[in-house]
Amino acid sequence: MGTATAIRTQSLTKRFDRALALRSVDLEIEAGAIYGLIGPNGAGKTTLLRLLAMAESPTVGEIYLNGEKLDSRHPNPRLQRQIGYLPDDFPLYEDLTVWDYLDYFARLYHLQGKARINSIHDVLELVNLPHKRHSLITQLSRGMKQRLGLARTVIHTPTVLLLDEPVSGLDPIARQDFRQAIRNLQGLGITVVISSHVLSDLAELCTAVGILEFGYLVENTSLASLYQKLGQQKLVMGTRGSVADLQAALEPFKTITDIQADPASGQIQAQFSGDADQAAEVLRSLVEARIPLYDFHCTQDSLEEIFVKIGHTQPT
Amino acid sequence: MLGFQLLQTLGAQGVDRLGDWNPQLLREWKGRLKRFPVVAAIGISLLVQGVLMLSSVSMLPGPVVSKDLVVSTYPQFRWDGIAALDSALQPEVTLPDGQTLTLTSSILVERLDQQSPIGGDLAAGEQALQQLQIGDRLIAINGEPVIFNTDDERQQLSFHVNQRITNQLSPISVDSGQGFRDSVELTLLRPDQELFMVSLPRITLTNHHNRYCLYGDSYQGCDVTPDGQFYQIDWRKWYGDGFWAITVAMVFSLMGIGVFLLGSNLAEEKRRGTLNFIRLSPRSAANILAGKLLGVPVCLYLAIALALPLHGFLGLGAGYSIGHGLGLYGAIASQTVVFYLAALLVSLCITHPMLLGLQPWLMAAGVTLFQWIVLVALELPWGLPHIDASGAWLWSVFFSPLVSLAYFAPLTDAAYYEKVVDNLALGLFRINFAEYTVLTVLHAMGWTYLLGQASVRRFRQATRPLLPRALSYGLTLGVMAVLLGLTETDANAYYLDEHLTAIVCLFLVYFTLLTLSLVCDRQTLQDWARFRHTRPKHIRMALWKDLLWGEESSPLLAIALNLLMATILFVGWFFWNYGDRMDTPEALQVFALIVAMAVGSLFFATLASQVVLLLPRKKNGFWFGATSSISAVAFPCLTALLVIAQAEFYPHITTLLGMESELGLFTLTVGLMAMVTTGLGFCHYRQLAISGRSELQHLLKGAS
Repeated sequence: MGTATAIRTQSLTKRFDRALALRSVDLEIEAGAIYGLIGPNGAGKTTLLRLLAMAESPTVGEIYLNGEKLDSRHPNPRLQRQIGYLPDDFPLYEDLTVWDYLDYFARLYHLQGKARINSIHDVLELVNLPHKRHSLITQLSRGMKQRLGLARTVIHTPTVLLLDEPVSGLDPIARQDFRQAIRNLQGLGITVVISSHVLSDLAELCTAVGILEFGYLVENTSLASLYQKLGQQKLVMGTRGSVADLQAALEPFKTITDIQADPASGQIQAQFSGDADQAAEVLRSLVEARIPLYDFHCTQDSLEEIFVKIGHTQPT
Repeated sequence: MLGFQLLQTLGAQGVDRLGDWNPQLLREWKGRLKRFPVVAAIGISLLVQGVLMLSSVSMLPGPVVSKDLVVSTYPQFRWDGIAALDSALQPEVTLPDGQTLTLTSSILVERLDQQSPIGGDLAAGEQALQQLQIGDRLIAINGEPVIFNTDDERQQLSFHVNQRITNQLSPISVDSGQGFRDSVELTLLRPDQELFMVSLPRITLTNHHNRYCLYGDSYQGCDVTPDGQFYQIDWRKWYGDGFWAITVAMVFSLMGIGVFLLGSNLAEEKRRGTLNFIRLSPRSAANILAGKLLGVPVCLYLAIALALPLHGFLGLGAGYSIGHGLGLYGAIASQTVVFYLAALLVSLCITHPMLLGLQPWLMAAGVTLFQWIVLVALELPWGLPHIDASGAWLWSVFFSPLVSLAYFAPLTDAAYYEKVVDNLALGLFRINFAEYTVLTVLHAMGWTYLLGQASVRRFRQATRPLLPRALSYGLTLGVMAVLLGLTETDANAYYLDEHLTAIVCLFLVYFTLLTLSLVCDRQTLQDWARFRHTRPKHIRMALWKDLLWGEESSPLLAIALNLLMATILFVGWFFWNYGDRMDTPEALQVFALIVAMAVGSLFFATLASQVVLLLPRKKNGFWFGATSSISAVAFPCLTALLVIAQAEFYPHITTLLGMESELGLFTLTVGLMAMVTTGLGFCHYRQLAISGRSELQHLLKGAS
């Protein structure tokens, strides 16, 4: 028996007027995963998150949360308690203190007595804001407000957390704090679905990604599989000897293609389709061939490069 | 947080439990019970109470002052007209110039009043009273015969005689107190007696009049206290008026300010987008909306709560029973909930940014105006409460708690009203206070259920119709039952027109609201047309069922069914009660054409608005409103114009389509309306069919 599925959608479609924002999306996200949603503006990321959060009703299709069907027309409070949703532009009650704000939402989610107080303390610790609990929200910085939003979203300990562009507009330190907070949440077993344009963050955080374009889910896979499937590796080598000798030494390897040499610097770059063992084998053969190497390393396409590549291959 | 801290100190556990029960309520209280709003609420409440009480006190008559005093006698007389004296009784009197003459007529005592004197010899007066009786004829004053020389004197006979008795013959100064020791000798004649003399003391009494004075039988002036220093005050009436003033202030504040606060709060939440978060929480919509209802106007509630002790005190002082007070509070509370829910619903429905800003003001002004109209209709400002409404308009009495006050007037002024307004005329029925209160509360509960349902639906999903269609059919039956049930059926021709106008106007309002409650937005209609067939079989309904009971299908059939039900009920009611008036085929034709025109116009307007709704254009709400309004009046106006034009330019045409020309034109426009409606119906069907095409079908159709 495989890992449990936290979220499953079936033919999920959403129309705005006659335009399809989402087209028959079939999605599966494993429990405990950090799932990244990637796509250009207007691809349907926000719509998908809103549908999962029950903020919108799908035109067609079904959504299952931990195996139970979601119905935004007749919401089930038990299922609503399992979802935490942080939209892109979330408003706050500026007239409340941090504590009162969290207290209000904790009560909205039926947390009572000591459980509520403990929960508020916990989420404040999680987002590193305990020292600000008596401050008015209006006095917080943007990064703090973003973390407060996250605290509000997880105060009821949801099993699924939906984050729409949570790090947009944050400085690098704030982003780092935010990433750490999300890792902590994953440690608690929460499934996180996160949409972001900062792909380096996603690459660092996510265990799986989905790529949306024109409302289609064009990829839905683990990050490792994606790299393996679409990401390209390059071997970068440098020699103090003859570049031609190095080029000749590489020719027997079928995993190495598209060799580009730069005689001036003594460097060669080549596409590599093998794994780590095969790379070691190449290095061993070069050393045995007495090629005087000063550099030998393997590089990988970034998520951004893969995304751009896929984007260009999709039909419009 | 003054108020809130106070609350917390008083019962932290209670506040905590309250927050667990309704977090929204706690949040609103925390946001509002702060130092400034609380102090302002208390200050304004006390200030208003103070001003009302001061103005009430200023209306009391105060102490007796000399300018209010007049000279009179004890007792006071009212004289009847000149009557001829029986020849056996005609006395001879001597005039001042020494001449004697026989008196053939005289005036007689019609009434003896005993208004308490401020000063004067009361004992002498009491003694004189023993000698006098009604019917005595006045012969002379201080020995001077009473003869009326001029017509003017004859006309103002009673006044002139009293003038002469008091101070015309021997003027006295009230201020000097001279008159108190003075007396007047009246020579009187009684049929069974000889002439006799009565010595009357001249006294001073007050002619001051005030709403709050106690009056003796004479109503000549306020009664005074035994020491003559103050007027006797009708404290029950004074307390009653204070009670009324605070009730009116309370109702206007609750309705006007409360509706404004709620509308403004919802508009603010919408502008900030915070409503969406609350929406996604697992709390029920009813719980959140109840929190808003109880929490947003909390400072207003505080101000009103502070007025309750004074209100209760005044009510008890006026002699109102606790039952009456509770009934009034029940009516106020239940109807306030109705208006607040309506305000919440309107606020939830409005999305246009400009209207969001205007909406609180418009709603508050509308509600205040309505309450003012009821107040004026009740004539409360003039102290004469009665319901000047008839027929279906009577329904409005269940929307204003001020109507309750109509029952309070006879309690403090029984002598004046003589219990004539003990029971409120409600159509053919007269209902007492208890019945009125129970009906009002039940009526408010009905509206609370309806508005609550609609608010909850709209709160959860902004595109959902406000009412389920199944409920609309029952509602139409209920509304028609009320409209027709309140209308008197034994009305004469003049009142029949008035009653029918009331029914049509109120039905038009109902139908507009019903249509707005049933229509879907364009997206929902398009999705329904496109994806209806893709629904799983176990939830897919037959098309006719979907059109009648579903919530996402075209509402036209459901609206048509509602119209049909209302029409059948109305026509049935009309023929049951006034069938005898339809005694000629022409009368029947006219009636049928009027009904067809009215119902057809309403359906045509709905259809036109649905066609416009599905057109790909911006500002859909504006076009929807404009189209439906214009369509509703288009054919009636066209008919009127044709009839006027025919009479003006073609008076020689007297028949059309084999009927009288007016009737023929009417038939022509009804036929035209039927044709245009059919065409528009086909157009709407095409729109839905096109919306139902898949992308591939669109491509193929486009290619061909």
